[in-house]
Amino acid sequence: MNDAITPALLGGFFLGLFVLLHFWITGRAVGCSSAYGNFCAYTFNTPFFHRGEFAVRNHPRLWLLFGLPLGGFLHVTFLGNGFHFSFNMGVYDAIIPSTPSAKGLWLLLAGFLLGFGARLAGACTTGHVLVGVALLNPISLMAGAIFFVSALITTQLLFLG
Amino acid sequence: MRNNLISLLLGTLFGFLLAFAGATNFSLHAELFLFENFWLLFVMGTAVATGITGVYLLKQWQPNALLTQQSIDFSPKGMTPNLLMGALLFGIGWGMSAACPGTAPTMIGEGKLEGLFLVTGIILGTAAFGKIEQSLR
Repeated sequence: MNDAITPALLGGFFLGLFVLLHFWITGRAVGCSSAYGNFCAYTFNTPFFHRGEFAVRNHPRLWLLFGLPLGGFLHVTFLGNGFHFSFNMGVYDAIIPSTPSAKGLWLLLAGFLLGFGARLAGACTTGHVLVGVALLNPISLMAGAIFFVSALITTQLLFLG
Repeated sequence: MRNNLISLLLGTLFGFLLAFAGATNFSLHAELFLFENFWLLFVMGTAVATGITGVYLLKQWQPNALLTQQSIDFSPKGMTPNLLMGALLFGIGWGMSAACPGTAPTMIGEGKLEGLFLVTGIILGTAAFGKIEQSLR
């Protein structure tokens, strides 16, 4: 085995274990995108955010979302290069708008498509790929495959187009 | 309150693991979709293989969930009316930003300012869906 990919396999293994741990502790699937709906319940009076899966506004999944930056901070502090602010997207900086304000608009638009698309599809990479594929749910397998192919074509067009 | 704090801790662990696995590394996404470096494919493959095995075992053992003392809810996500269009738009957002709704907040904790714009965009996209949702039915 190629030693260089061992950390990737380890990271994947831990993420898989996390999905299972979340099931065992809370009794439900881990999810990220729907928590943004709980956030919207605090800021928008749209009926959609006050019934169904968002009927309980202060839901634990919103708190899971708040934990994510803490985890990112702990990783960069203890296993990374230490915390510092950056606005550098690596190879992407060569192909997306370069002024800070245009780059910000680009990211806002990308985020908008992620948020809107996830609600339209019912879940994001966490719910459909990490959890949905673990459950061998055909709908999630299909959604995950489209996520992947759509991102692949987008990237190819951006970098090679 | 106890459940919320435990979810905060679970989210912290999840963010740590996403960063550890390289999911918040922008360039790894481009390299995957340009077939230059399959790191993230190994991450996702190992994660779902572990998940498939573990879900199978949990369904065999049928432990109660620790917080609820009730059986675990393994019900899968159902079909949505515009799943194909939604998945397509989501993929475009992923391709444009190398991020997803889980990694974007994690990036903020790593000091990556891109995360602030992305999270704002995800909130606006979710809000826009809520506004037009009734006309989609």
